[in-house]
Amino acid sequence: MHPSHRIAEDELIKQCKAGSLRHQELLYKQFYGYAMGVGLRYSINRDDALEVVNDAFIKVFNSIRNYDITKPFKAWLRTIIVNTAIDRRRKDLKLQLNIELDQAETLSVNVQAIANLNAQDILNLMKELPAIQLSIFNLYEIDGYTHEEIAVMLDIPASSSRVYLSRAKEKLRKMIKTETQSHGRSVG
Amino acid sequence: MDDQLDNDLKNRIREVFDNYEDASADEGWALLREKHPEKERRRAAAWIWWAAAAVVLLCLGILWFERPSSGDQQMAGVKKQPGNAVVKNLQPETTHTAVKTDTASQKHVDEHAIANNASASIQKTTAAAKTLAKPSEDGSIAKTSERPTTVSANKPDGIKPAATTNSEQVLASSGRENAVNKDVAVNNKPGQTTIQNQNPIVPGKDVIATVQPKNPGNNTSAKISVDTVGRAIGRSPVATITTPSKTGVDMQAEAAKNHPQTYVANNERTSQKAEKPMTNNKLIRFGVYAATYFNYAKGSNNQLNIGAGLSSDIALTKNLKLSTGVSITQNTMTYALQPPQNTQKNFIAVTSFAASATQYTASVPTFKNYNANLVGLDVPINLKFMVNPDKGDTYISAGLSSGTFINESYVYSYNNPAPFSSNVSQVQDQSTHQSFNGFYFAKMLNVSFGTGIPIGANRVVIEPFLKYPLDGLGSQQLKFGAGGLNLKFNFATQKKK
Repeated sequence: MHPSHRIAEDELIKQCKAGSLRHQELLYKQFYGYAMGVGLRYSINRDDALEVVNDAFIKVFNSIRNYDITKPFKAWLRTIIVNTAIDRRRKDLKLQLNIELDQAETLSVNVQAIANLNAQDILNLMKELPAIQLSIFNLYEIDGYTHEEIAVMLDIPASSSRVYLSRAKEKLRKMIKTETQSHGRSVG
Repeated sequence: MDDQLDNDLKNRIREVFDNYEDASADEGWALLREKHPEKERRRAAAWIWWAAAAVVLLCLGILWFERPSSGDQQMAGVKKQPGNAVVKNLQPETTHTAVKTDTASQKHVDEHAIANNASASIQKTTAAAKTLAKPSEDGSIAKTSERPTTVSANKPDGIKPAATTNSEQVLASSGRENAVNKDVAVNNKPGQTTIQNQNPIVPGKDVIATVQPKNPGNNTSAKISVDTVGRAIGRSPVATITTPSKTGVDMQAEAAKNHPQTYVANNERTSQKAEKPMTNNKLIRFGVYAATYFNYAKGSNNQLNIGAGLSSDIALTKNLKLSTGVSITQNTMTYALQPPQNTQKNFIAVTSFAASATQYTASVPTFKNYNANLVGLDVPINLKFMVNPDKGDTYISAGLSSGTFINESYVYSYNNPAPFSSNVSQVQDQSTHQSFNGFYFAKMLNVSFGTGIPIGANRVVIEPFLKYPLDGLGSQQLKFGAGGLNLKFNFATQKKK
């Protein structure tokens, strides 16, 4: 991280702790992109992600006095966003717990090599996952939660978390392979 | 194979979303504020109320300490009023009573009374009495038997005032009686002596008499009150002299009970004191004020800010005042489109450094925004023209401000694109802080007008103002101004008695 960036971030947080609305706005705008990156992964669409992000920032502003400034702010923000997103989707997740969807064969995601995937490509892929699988994939693979933690968060057995993760990864693999093959055929 | 794919996908997702950039932050913030209205205004309003309460308490405290003590009011309750008579016991040890009515002495007394603005201290009056007690060549000083009291009466033109004292207290010695009776007739009654002035009284001139108290050892006071009520209906005014035999306070109270004329005259004097309008001709008047204003600058969003300070108005002429003081002000500017002109070279230097740091020529940082926050000490020197000083406190004011900045904070924000990616960039900041970096002189033009609302002896002044920058301010030479409203509290100070 750029040293001056760090200084500015500390100053922003300090001012937010003091209740400065102007600095809250600056903090919001500075971390908005990062927050949306997290929120989009857990949401069904952009509007949903924005609501998640805004709710999360309100929680941040309300509890920033208790934030330990020696710890990375981004990690704290991400935790709040993830929890907010999971809370919002808890109902959906419950409904989908027993629904088995396997539509990998019907996908037509325009993906190239994994290294060239951009944000929209990844979101298009993720959009095809059921909400429960998407959440568990994000929690475990991207945000580093354990299955035990996920089980507590989603109120499911840890074993179910493992199963859903496995299904999510398998589905993603299928989608990527399918698209890679189709891309290869079209190129050849 | 699958694990490799999983790892690649996981790493790619992390890379993309950890550096995700979204340009709709302003939109998102607006939505957030719409859903969750800001609370800071309430906090600011609460702050203003607390500040106002503190100012009121401060002013009450100042008035409390500035008020005259009750003892002073009783002993010095001899303020010169037209038509009122004043009696003071000044030298109980002496055996002389002086009644002086000659023009020279009266002139002297008038000057003395004017100099003291009708609120002479005992010491000053003593000096006057000593002067008067000296025998003059025209023999106008009358000696009484033993006990001296000085009587000072201001007599209006064409009126024959009469003064009343305790009967045995004003006694003209035989050799000097004529001198006294030329001007003053003494009418002895039990507990009261009436001194009738036979001559027309010159306006603004005093009658001086020394009346001896019963107990020479006591430091007592005597008072003459002129019957101005009677004068108003064409009767010869009567001045009542009361000489307390025990204490001044007791005797005055007793006299007030016993003699309706005294009571009326005292009441009249009291009401005159109460109704005496607050003088606006004090040399210096102080005040405190709080300011709410918008900062403006070319290319910057207007920012609401607050300030507070002390002010003083020094009267130069009846209509003209020199107004100065000191205030603490906060100034914030936010440049969203481009940095201010004076700072563009700094921005170029910053971004060049950032670009070289990335080692990719394609990754040129772009300006995102620029924020400046300056907390300053402002020392205005304004000329204030009172539109109609007799009727109110409306004025217009113009002048220049000088000062320094307690704290200056500047933050550049710029997008630093990630290499080989068109849609991923990182926001980076470059901040600068300064404190007391020099003193600027007369670089801000002040224009304002205001009007005062009397609250007791004080004034609350509402003053819209505009500050126009004549040059760049601060270490980054930002050219910014301010426009808003001052809420002033000008308090009236009183001289200690």
